[in-house]
Amino acid sequence: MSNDNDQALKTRRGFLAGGALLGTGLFASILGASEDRQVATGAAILDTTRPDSPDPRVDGGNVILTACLQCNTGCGIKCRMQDGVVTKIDGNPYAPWTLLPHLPYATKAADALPVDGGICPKGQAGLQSAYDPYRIRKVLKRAGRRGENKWVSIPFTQAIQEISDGGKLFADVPGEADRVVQGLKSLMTLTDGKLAKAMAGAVKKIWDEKDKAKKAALVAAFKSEFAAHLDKLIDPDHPDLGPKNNQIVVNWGRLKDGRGDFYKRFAAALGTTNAHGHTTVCQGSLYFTCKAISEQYIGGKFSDGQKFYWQADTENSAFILFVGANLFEANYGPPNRTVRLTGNLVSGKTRIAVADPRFSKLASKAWKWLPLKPGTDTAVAMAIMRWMFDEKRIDAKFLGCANKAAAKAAGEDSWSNATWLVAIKDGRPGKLVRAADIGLIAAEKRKVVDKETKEEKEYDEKFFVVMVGGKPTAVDPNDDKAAVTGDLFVDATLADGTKVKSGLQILRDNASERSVAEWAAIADVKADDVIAVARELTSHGKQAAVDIHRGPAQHTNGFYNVLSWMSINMLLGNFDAKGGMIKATTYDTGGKGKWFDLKAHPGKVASFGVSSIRHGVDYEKTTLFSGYPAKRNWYPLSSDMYQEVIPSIGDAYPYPCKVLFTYMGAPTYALPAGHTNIEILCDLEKVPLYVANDILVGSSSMYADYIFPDTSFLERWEFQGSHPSIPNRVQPVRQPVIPPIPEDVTVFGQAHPANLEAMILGFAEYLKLPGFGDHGFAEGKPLKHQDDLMLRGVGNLAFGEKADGSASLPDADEAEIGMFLQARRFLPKSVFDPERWKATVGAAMWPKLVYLLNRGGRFEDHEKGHKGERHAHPYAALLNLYQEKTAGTIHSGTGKPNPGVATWLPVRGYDGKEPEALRQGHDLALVTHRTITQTKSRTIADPWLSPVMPDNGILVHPDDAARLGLAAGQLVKVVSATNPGGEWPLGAGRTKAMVGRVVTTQTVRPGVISFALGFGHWSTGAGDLVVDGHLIKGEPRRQAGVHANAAMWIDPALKNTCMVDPVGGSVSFYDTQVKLVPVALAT
Amino acid sequence: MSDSTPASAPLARATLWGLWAILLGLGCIGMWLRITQGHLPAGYGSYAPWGLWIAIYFHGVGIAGGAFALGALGYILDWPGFTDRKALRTTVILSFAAFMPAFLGVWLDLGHPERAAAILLSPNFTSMMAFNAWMYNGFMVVAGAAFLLSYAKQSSWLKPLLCLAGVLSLMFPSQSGAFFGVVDAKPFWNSALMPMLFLTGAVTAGAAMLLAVRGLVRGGDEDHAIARLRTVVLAGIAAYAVFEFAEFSIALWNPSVHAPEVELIMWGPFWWVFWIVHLAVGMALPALLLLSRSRQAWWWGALLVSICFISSRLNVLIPGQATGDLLGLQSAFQHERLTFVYQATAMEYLVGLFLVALGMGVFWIGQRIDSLLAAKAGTNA
Amino acid sequence: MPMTRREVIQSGIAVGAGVAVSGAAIVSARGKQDHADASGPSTVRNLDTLKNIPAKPGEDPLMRMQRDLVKAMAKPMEQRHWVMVIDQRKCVGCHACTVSCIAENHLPPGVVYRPVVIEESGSFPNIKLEFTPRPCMQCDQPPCVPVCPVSATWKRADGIVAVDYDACIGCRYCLTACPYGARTSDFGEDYQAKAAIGADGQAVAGAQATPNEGKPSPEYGKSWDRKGHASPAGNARKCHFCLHKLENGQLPACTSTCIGRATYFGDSNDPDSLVSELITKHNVQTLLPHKGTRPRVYYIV
Ligand SMILES: Nc1nc2c(c(=O)[nH]1)N[C@H]1C(S)=C(S)[C@@H](COP(=O)(O)OP(=O)(O)OC[C@H]3O[C@@H](n4cnc5c(=O)[nH]c(N)nc54)[C@H](O)[C@@H]3O)O[C@H]1N2
Ligand SMILES: Nc1nc2c(c(=O)[nH]1)N[C@H]1C(S)=C(S)[C@@H](COP(=O)(O)OP(=O)(O)OC[C@H]3O[C@@H](n4cnc5c(=O)[nH]c(N)nc54)[C@H](O)[C@@H]3O)O[C@H]1N2
Ligand code: SF4
Ligand code: SF4
Ligand code: SF4
Ligand code: SF4
Ligand code: SF4
Ligand SMILES: [Mo]
Repeated sequence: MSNDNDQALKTRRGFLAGGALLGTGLFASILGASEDRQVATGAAILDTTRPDSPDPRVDGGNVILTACLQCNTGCGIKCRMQDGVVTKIDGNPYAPWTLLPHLPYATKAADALPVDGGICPKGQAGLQSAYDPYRIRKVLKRAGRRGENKWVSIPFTQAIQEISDGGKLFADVPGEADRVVQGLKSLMTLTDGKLAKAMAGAVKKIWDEKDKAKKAALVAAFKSEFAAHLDKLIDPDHPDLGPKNNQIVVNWGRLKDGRGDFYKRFAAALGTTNAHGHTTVCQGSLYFTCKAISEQYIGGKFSDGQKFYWQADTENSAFILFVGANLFEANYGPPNRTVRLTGNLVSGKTRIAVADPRFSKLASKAWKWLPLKPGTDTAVAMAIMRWMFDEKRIDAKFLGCANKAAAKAAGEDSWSNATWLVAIKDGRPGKLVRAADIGLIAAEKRKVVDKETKEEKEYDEKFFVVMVGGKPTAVDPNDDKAAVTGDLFVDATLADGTKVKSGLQILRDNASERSVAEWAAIADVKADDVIAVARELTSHGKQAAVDIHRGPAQHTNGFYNVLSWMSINMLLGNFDAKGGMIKATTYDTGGKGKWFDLKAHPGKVASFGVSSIRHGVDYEKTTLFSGYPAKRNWYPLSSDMYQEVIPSIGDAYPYPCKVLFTYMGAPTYALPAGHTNIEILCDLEKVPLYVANDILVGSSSMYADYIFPDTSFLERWEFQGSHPSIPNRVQPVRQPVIPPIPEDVTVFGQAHPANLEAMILGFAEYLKLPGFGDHGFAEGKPLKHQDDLMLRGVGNLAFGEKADGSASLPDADEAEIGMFLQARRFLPKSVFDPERWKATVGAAMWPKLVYLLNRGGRFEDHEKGHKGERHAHPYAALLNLYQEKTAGTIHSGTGKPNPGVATWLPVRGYDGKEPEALRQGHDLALVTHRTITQTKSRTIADPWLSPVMPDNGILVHPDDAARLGLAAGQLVKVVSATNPGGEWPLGAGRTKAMVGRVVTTQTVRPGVISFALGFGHWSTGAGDLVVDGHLIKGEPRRQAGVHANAAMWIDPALKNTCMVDPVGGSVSFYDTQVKLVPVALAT
Repeated sequence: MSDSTPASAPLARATLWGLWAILLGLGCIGMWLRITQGHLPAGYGSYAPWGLWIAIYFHGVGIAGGAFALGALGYILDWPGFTDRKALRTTVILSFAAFMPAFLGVWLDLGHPERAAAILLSPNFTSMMAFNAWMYNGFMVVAGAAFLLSYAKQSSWLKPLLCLAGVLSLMFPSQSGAFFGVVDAKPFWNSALMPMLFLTGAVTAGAAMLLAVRGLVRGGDEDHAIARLRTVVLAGIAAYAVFEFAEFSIALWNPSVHAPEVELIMWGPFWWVFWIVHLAVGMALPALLLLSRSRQAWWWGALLVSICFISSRLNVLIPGQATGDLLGLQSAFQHERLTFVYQATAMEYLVGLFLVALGMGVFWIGQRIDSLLAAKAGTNA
Repeated sequence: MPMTRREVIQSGIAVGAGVAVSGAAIVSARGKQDHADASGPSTVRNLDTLKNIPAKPGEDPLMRMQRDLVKAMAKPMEQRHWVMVIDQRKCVGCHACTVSCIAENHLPPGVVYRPVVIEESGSFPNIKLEFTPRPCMQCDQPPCVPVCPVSATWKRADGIVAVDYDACIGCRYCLTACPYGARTSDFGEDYQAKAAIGADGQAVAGAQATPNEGKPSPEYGKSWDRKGHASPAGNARKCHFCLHKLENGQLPACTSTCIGRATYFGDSNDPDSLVSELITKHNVQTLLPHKGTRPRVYYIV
């Protein structure tokens, strides 16, 4: 046997580039003794002499519970192994994702072994992503032009040194003989904490100064004050761009806690402010609108909005209107949301309606389908609200509650600002009226703790105003003693002449701009259907909800679509109610003030300056302000604008970038018009150094200069977190299950699998970054290995939410510990070393850690999710139906202020104009959707999923097909005004045509075409690679289908990125119009 | 009876050897592919599990049975041209020569050829396959015994054995029809006409092959056998046409039953197999040739029938599998072997050529052995 | 020379004997007992599965079914009759069952036990999508069984139609006989044989890089390692209700992973089982009832 494998090892290694790719390094590590338990059941089934199957499924020694990451739902999974090889994945019954109700947490690990929960097909196939033969094992360095896909494998330490020190790194690559690359060292100019703090303070002053001349004076003062350090800045004339450290941009796609702590700590240690995620490609405007809704009134200002969102309490709702939410195929996620629904649908407990231009599988179970025109969500929401207002079917009691005390009195947990008065200036709603400003009440001196400085500050509390029986009354939103219940609809002029309206009034005015029929006509849905849905929504008290997802969010008007739909939920008063809107609740891994402070970062240098994607600050405040339109959009309310990361680098706005890091993301593939990013990535001037972390050569990492290998989701740690539809407090833990595929490297003198953590630790060691090493967390608290952070995070979970430790978990008994050790017998010491683990968390924590890991995380028992008719973990805070903060921001493309309340806006470009020119001659609305078997550029690696849907094709309504003379199965190219060639420019002179098969189906609205995400790959094992001189062919299976993102409109004003939501930050996925051009068979 | 060979014999001989060498050469490539790559290069799958080799199998078995039945009947009933033992043995040899490639074809088709003996050793007689296998294995034993007895100066068991073998030789070709007929899952196969159709096909092709062979080897102008076989072939073609029309008419004039398969046969992608190979070249043209006066033409006509009648097997086998009750299965889980469409691959064709070469080889060797044994037994009678 | 009298008699004897032998073979085969499965006390399984997890009202149907299963396993094999009930109203066409089954039974390309057929009907905006998962129906009158020339497939006393891969010769007759297309043949392919192909265009044993494909399948409680075209490569394969999991007190893989909880499994001989309840409460249907196969998979529509 071993001979066989040796042979295989050699042959394979020959081809697979000296073991740089997966090849069989894997084998060397997982060929272990077979010690599977024999269960004598075989003979009872087949009476033969054939050996019984060593059935490991009920043997705890062959099972590890972890969390899936085949999509971001992160279901708890149970990995079953044969000889250390995962061969079957099932659902973890302790996790509420896969079993309903899930097993009580106290269930003994052995008792839970035979119980399996349900997971989706991608989860089933997850082991194939881990065992993908295209996985990389060593650092790959570019050996050809960017995008040419020629690589050499190099030692890990060499990569660390080269990237840190810079130099003529690519002297061997034709044309780059003399190109000098700036390394990290030369960019880490600002490393003095005190200086950084001083500079940051000075910049804040500059920003806070409104007067132009005074601002200029402050800049001059800055230059003289820090004259000795101006070389540390990107541009001394614009000190608010910050230090050169900011020219290191750290970007990620799918990043979860634990790893997130590592990666963000890395960025912080490098001193850059540019650590950006991918939220806006996902559903940014859903997050950031809900953030705006959740802003709290603290210290006289609106702040602390949470980047989160609500979903319907799926399991308990009587009626749910799902809007652009693809529950049975995608969402978060098919297993946990489907199981909460199907039983109730059949029993009649729940009824659903679906608003989607596509007849989804979800719609197939719906009582009503509203096939709206893409981009018209607000119109449908307005129609519903108009009807609700007209019929007085709103939750007046909830809406009336103007502060916490009122909510309490009404049996609510949250309250809204629906009744607060808004000043109307020149017909436009602006600021909320302050009681002290209109002389209703005197301002009160109050104290507030500054979040950053931790210092107590004094401020003037001026209070808000509501009408109570027509009488202006001051209201303190957070007061939990004196209840204030305001008049719902107010349209009045105050004594001082201020015209005021209540927020609710403004909303009603907006909704009343058109009749139900007129709104319905905009969306081209039947008014009767809309009314029927509205009636249902308002017939179940708080057990009805509007549950939205990407469909409404990913538009240029995404923010207002989301706000409109969420406003309906506010009108329903369903927040925190069983069966109403619900938010996610997790156990904390950070541990601050409890067991171990995971965020402690001694020696961290405060970063400051305009972020490379210009978020979190008003354009007008910065020294870059030069009127409208700004060169690119600014995002005071949102963050993680994925579509801005690379295109901003392309425009060198606000400043040029020197080093780009990416992790687990494929912006080129994932973004609308992602192809614009390829061109920039291929430009050595614009992106002088690009370092990617990936498990294979991906559709973006293929343009990198260095690719660091990574451990897959079955080989690594992470804290997955939760999703809004899960009522319980939870924290699934992703933990190593199989031996790492990448090679082992040495960091801080220890063996470590070559992964993201190793890469960061390698740089930290070489660059002596603060917050790492022997005293990484604190004196004597090292951060030299992934264990140092991850195990302590697990420790925090096991310790629980109570500072006194009273919520900590019980100890695992001997049997459980034995099972735990047995199941990890195939893991190398670099990953699992019981002695090291014990030492890291301490002998007292060790058995608790085992207890937790044997359950795949920490999960509250099912019945604890609700208290009577309320959620046990309510949001319980202010909901901004009217958003003063939003109303105070300005669209940097048009210079016009943004509305602070749900408002109907058509699709618009950055210039504020409707894209009529782009529409000319392109009459098909292009949308996109997910299919259950694929996740972007991850699952194409899994051959088990292909037979179910080998390629996607382009869904076309038969009427459109007939009109255009297209036959089913015919190949067509997707062409838009901004991509008339209908192809992906792949760099290095290569292209891939956006050609797909016509799939005629009644399931798309006439005039709309759609394609499923996850096909049409050019990398990720689909493209040919040359590694160390060996050609490794791509797999044709992975190239199948079409990915039409490159047809999505490039914003005519921005020119190198897609159309965007200027407020919520989202990219536009569903606003483009295209045409389909038949192509000859040869493609 | 004359031993004289036609004037063109050396040329024919050379042509035959050349043809055989080519068939064998190409066939070996196919066999090599089959042996080294297993079933992977084959075109059959799970929704259309059987292909060319199975058609060859049924064709071969048909020829074996049909030819033998005629030869034995002629010997027993003293038909002119059938009475001599040499002629009888030629028939038996032909029968074996048709069997061997048929067996090899089906054997190669098995997923586990090494277990083929199980059909005989632990048969399940509710399976037409097992029953059929026992039938012709029994036949071979009996026919083989008769073959050996035919060298004896005198044997009262020769004719009784021939009777038994004759019955068997009529049974297994018709069972071949039943083989398909019992499959309720395939509406096109599930017809009582199948046994008749298969038997008719077998007798026709068997007679044609016998004619072709005897015309080649013996070539005697006065050979009554040829005349008789010519009649049988012509009658066979006519009967087959009648049965086939009966089968098709039910389908064609009834809008629901069987229609898709018949449509597929006539108008599907392989329309030419039906219209050209089967009807034109396999039946109409040979009928014309056989109706002519030229013996040369008869020979060619017989040859065409014996080759092209494989299309009658294909036309049952393939379309029968081309439809199912759950056609949606094809898109539910997609794989090239999970379609109702079958297309033979190059490997299958090449192996097919090997099978033909094998048949020719067996026949030649059989003749040599016969000469040797006959010489040894000192008899030619 | 015409036949002598003696020859005629002998002929009669020969032919008569031949016919008699074949007739006897058929009759004996028809009346043959079921395959020699173990039965009786040796098949009783007193599993302690779920013993320590108290049943609760409102628990996941998966738990209820697993309890039913443990109960059924405590009876001798011939007293349980396994059935599946698929509630199409709850099925969301997710294919989790399809892939779970592939993983569980180590199915190679082209082999599938439980595809899910999706059918679209109607026209915009009145559309219907129907999802039909199709495991083996475990027919009570299975047409796939009598056609097997070597008795490699048979109907067990507990209702499951099994295949002995070591006996099956791979003739594929049973494939043609099943009206549901529930049997597929394993032609010896591997899923990742073509991945990461090397420079000379030759497969570099891609399958080896996916070690899971090299691990034996646990079907029928036996260890099946397909390496080198060993069984079950070359065999007819089909759904067997995950017999090997039942023996361990576990539900079939497609059932436990069904995210819509549309798949129910259990013992129809137990009147208190969930499946019995469902079958009696609902108007259940079977696929292709006119084929007379008497399927043991029921559909609620
Ligand atoms: N299979 C699978 N599951 C996944 C993922 C995956 O990649 N694959 N990814 C995960 C991630 S990251 C995410 S963010 C979630 C996404 O989960 P969802 O947002 O639920 O999934 P999508 O398929 O993107 O759904 C978008 C829906 O919006 C519809 N739509 C298009 N235009 C409009 C419009 O103008 N208005 C309305 N109302 N609807 C419109 C589309 O037809 C589609 O049904 O899925 C998660 N789950
Ligand atoms: N047409 C269309 N496009 C879409 C969407 C859509 O609905 N339709 N949805 C959008 C949504 S919601 C999202 S969230 C984005 C996602 O966009 P991204 O976050 O960019 O995409 P991912 O697929 O998560 O990125 C996966 C990439 O990371 C790498 N990778 C995979 N696994 C690992 C790992 O374990 N470690 C490391 N280091 N790298 C790994 C691979 O190279 C892979 O290409 O896509 C968006 N794109
Ligand atoms: S929904 Fe996502 S996380 Fe859950 S099993 Fe499927 S792929 Fe894995
Ligand atoms: S469904 Fe098909 S394979 Fe299954 S028992 Fe019935 S006939 Fe046999
Ligand atoms: S393929 Fe196997 S099980 Fe099926 S009939 Fe042939 S021998 Fe029997
Ligand atoms: S019962 Fe088992 S074998 Fe049958 S379809 Fe389900 S998972 Fe596959
Ligand atoms: S797993 Fe369940 S819901 Fe999904 S397709 Fe199969 S039967 Fe339907
Ligand atoms: Mo996403």
